[in-house]
Amino acid sequence: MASTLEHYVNMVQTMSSTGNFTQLCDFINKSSDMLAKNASHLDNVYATLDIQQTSLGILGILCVKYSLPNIPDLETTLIQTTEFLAKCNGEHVRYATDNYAELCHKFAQALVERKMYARGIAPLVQAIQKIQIHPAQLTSIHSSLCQLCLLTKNMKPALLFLDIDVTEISREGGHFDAKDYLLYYYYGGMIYTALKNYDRALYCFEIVITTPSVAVSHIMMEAYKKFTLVSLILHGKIISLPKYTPQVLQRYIKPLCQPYMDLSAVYTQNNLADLRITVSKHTDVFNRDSNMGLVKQCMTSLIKKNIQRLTKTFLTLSLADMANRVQLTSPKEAEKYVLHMIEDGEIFATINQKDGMVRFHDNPENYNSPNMLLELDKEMQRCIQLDEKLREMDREIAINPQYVQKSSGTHEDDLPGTSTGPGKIQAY
Amino acid sequence: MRPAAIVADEMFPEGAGSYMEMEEAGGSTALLMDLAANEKAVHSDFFNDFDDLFDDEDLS
Amino acid sequence: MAAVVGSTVDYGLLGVDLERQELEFGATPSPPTVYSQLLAIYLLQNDLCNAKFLWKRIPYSVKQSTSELSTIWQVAQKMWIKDYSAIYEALRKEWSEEVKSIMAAVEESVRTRALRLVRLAYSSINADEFATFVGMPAERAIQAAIEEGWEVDQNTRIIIPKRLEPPPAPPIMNEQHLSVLTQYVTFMEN
Repeated sequence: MASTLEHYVNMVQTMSSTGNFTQLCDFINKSSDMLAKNASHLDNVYATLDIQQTSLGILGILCVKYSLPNIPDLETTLIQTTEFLAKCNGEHVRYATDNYAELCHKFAQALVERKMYARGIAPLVQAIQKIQIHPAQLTSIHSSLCQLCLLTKNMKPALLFLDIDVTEISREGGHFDAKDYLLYYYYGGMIYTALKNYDRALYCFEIVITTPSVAVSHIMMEAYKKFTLVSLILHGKIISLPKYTPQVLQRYIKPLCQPYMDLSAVYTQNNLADLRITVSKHTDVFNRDSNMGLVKQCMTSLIKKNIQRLTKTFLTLSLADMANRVQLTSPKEAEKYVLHMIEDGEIFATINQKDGMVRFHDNPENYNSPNMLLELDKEMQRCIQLDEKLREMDREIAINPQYVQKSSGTHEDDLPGTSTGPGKIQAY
Repeated sequence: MRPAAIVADEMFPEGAGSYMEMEEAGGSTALLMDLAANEKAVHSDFFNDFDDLFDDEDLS
Repeated sequence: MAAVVGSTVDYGLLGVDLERQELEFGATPSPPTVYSQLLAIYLLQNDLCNAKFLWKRIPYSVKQSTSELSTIWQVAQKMWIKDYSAIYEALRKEWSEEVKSIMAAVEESVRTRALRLVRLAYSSINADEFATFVGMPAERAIQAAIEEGWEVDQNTRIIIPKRLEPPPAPPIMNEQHLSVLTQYVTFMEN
């Protein structure tokens, strides 16, 4: 081993044992050129250092390995990374959240390039749980995990994180790339859509398209397309967006999504035949965007919506008449739709096969049952918790030095509290 | 619960300030926005190469 | 490995364990029973989305060598399109020991759900139609309806299902409830 590498090992061991982590990070970052020059010996260094005791030193080596033009012996590097993410010391690596996140991204990227998606899921789940300060903290690693889950078609591991609402964003090296934030919610929206949790999917897509921006982000644009389709499937119309939606959406993104705008415009006319014409007109675009599946679901949802509209006009209706009115081929097909809709709680009705009629009912919920009270109770508890969380976040902002400085109008470059050491990671 | 607003970066070519002070459509600020947005389309290389995962008829 | 499946096994827990095992194998194919049991458990949970994505990610080589996976997937396909007579037909197979009891439970859960749906959705139903929902020959289905206490017109072969009763009401927490209400009022006043 070259003497410079021995020096690296010694420094890493000494500073790790004395707990001099900030200085150690500095030293490791400055050593990356030296490590890259000694690429062929890095596996020796890896073997010499203890993963638990000297996590930061190993992290430095692995980061350098991934940054080399051709990752030497990739298989070994992947195994080392997996081992590292499982065994490293969370307290130590929290001093280098930026390098840690970078390692995870490069690891994921290497797996994506070689189509070994499934291999990254368990390690990235561990990696996130290890670096998070609490489960509601978003890291940039989240987006990579979601990407791998989609690619390997294993959605469930991502729900571990997606089901928890984010209250804080990790500051990795004092910075968090908006791209990772947008990607997390875009991929998350796709995962929920794939699992037919449309409510949650819509929430994710809405976060993407309401993120403040004055530039056109392609992620926002793709999210807007899916937002449109999911909104039609779930609500039968495009739901209105909040006031703080950036103007780029209206001004630039919508005109770039013309086929989707056409689709939603014709959808609101409630005519299935017209919708079919519009869909076939834009089939190429929908296929190219991998959105044809959702478009087809929109067509089904229009049939259901039209059946729902009948419940407003009729008390009873023959299945033959229904088939006619909603442009279905036979009474049998109409019966199948009604049956599925009853099963999914989308309408309240009963089918009478004796005379081939459907009878529509009012929603049996009278809001006077103990069950409803329990439901109300749960909602109240959630509101109270949300209120508490908001107050807490508000307090944190109020005492934040940067905020105080800005709101009191003074300007100084050398602000206290901008250090990004552990425990100070905070989203504003 | 919605996450806190994110920090300025490439989505704010003019810096976050110009966004914060922006009023509703119209006025001279709108012109500034047009310029900024014309110059800047970001994330064009983002990974979106997935199969169609939402096709209910795809049961093969 | 939790491959032994008796009638006392908690399939929910087994499913979680199988999911974990699959992840641990990473990009290497898991043993076929991990896939077949997990696929069967998703069907038992009526979780067709996860069943579909599991089927799509099972490596081609495993599907080739373990034909039972396709046989389970055929059940899922029919469940997806809610073709009841086809579901029962697809379920009528010689299952291996690993999935036998799960698939039996799948059949039972499909029948229970179908029965509930008939009570919810039909004020009257033809005996033949009812038979496809429960996967029985018509005469046996009529007999079953009578045993359930449903009205059956033997001439027209029309069955009048008993309406579904509302779910039992949860107990209300009496004295506790008052303090909760107080808490709400305080919250809303602030």
